[in-house]
Amino acid sequence: MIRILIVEDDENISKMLAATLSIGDYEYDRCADGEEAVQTIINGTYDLILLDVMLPGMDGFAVLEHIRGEGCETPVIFLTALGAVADKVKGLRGGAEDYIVKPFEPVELLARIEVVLRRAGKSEMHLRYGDIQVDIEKHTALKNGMPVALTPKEFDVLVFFMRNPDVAITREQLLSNIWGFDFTGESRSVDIHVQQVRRKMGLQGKLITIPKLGYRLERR
Amino acid sequence: MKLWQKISLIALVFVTLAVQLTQFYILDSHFRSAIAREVNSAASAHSALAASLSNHAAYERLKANTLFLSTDQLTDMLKDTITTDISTADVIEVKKGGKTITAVGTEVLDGASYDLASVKPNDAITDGKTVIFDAGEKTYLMVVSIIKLEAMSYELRTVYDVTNVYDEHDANLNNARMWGLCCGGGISVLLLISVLGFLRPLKRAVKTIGAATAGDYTVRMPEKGSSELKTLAHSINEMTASINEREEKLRGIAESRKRFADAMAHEMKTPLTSILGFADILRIKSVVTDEQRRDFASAIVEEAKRLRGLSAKLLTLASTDNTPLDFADIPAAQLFSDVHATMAPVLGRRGIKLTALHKNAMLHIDRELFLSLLYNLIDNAAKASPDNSEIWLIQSELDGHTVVSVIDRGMGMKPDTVRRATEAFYMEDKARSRKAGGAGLGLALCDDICRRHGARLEIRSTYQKGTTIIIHMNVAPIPKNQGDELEALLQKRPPREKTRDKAREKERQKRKKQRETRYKGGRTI
Repeated sequence: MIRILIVEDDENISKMLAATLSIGDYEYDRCADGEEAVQTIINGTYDLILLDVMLPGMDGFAVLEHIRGEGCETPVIFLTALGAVADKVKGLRGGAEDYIVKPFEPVELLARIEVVLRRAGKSEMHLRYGDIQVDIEKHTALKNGMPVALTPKEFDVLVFFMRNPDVAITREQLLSNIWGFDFTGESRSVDIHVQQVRRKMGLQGKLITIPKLGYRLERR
Repeated sequence: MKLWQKISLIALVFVTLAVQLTQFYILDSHFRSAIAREVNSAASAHSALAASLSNHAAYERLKANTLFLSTDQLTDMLKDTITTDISTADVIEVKKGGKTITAVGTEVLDGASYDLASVKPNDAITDGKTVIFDAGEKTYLMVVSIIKLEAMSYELRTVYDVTNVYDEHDANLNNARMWGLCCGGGISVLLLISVLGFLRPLKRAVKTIGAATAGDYTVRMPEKGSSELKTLAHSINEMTASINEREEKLRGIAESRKRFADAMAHEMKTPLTSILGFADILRIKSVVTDEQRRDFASAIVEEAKRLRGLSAKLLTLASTDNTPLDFADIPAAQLFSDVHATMAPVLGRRGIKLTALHKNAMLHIDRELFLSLLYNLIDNAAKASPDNSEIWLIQSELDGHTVVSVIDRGMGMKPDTVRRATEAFYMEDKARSRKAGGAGLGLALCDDICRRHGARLEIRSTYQKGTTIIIHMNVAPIPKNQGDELEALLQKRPPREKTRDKAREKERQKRKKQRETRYKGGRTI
């Protein structure tokens, strides 16, 4: 189980982050103060830290500096209201893995967490959903132990749904996370890919279409 | 050409010219007097010769015991006399009717630069006529006169050598020229050195200004040297100091702008993050328990309210600058009783007592805005005060102006907080302020309202002891309404149609009159 520390002084945002993390099946702890966070991180064993920049006591940059100074290599994602490039650079140069500008959508945060965990080698590489097994490293998808031929994009779509079960995924989120932000194609191609995945993997009735919203892979 | 070159060159030219002119004048007058002396001595020698000639003639007459000397006797006498007298002159010649009767030393006159024959002795001249001429290498002075001997006119010419006077003059001239050249050279070197020395502060000034141009406004010049350069150095120092000060001020403004923008982003985006996050979770999650739904939805409502409060305050902050204020003279007693009536029940819930004291002053204020200022300050005081304490609202006189103070015995502020208190979004303790419903805009608004009233907001606070907020009334002119400026700008639009423009002009005049009368009324009361 992946353990994530939330360092955020605003009570409601902290709660929202916790709710988001439970959607992604992550364990979490919460902390609202910079100095306290440093101690918690050094003493605890976390796989990832969500770190707010403006904190009472000690700001996020200083927290990062402190824990890196203590030899803690836990990946850090900054959460901040400041979108200036200079601040972004400052955060990344300080050794943060990623930088998310508030406000953001929870699914976006989950996708970023996923990317950072994968880069750190902490992500689950074998996914299972009913009789479907996916090996991300080998890029193979098995249905009832039989390999199914999927295009790379179809494979990515399948993995994205399997990582976020029971959550409605919008076409925009699929587009930005699988095709990249700068993809300017029609969202029809998203629908076609989802239909292909549903057909090939036999997910009729499970990978359902939600009108006006997107798709959802029902947890059984 | 550089300044030092110009100065030294021009000075050199003038000095040389002055020296040369003086030299020339002195030498020339000296030369003239020398010539005059020569001429005088020549003239006296000449007349002495003439006298001796007539004496000899008389003597010969007595010796020969005749009434008149014959021409031959006279000629012999003349020959004898001039030969013995030749020591006084270089040439002596006696002529009669253009013919030379006798002459001594005439050979020096060969090659004379002057036609000696052209000198016609004038009868009227008794002491002779003088001519100066060159012959060969030498210069001579000739004196010509008519003498009467034995009832006959003779022309007596004597010539004297005056070469030494001319030679002396030439030598003097040469000497002077040489000395002039040497001194000129020396002076020009001295001049150059001193001019360069005088101009050194200028070089320093150029260096200083160069450094300032490059962005170093901390450079200062040593203020010494002659008074003009001292003034220059002082001015330059003042300039760099004022630039430095202004730059720091600008930097301060830019910094506080950046802080404002950052704080603004933070304050806007924090509630937005919760709202967007919870709303999206509610949207995408397939199963949401009742408890979760209530939880998430109440967080959304809470944050949306916070956003509403923030936007209202921001709007007030933005519009206090633009809305024209409605000034009126309101007695402090009336104002304070209004404040008391509104605030006392609210404060009473926490057992806080509000005491209002006043000296019946008239306050020239916009009633609504000033009320909200006082509400804000009292609200702040209440937030800082413990339950069952007391808050004072006092109007008094201080140094000849009216002041309104709000005093509490609450938690006070640290000096750093006092300094930044009126900055928008500044909060000493974010968590506590937010719980108390603050957005960090209260004092920024208060400061703004004071400014609009021509008043100054002063904060005196001792940490853990309490805070006194003092509004100094009428310490600055009331700023002009920006609404008027906007109207003035609009009036500058290019005319479109003449007829309509005329009508509009009339309307505008009317409005202007109304406005003026209104303002007059407001000021004189």
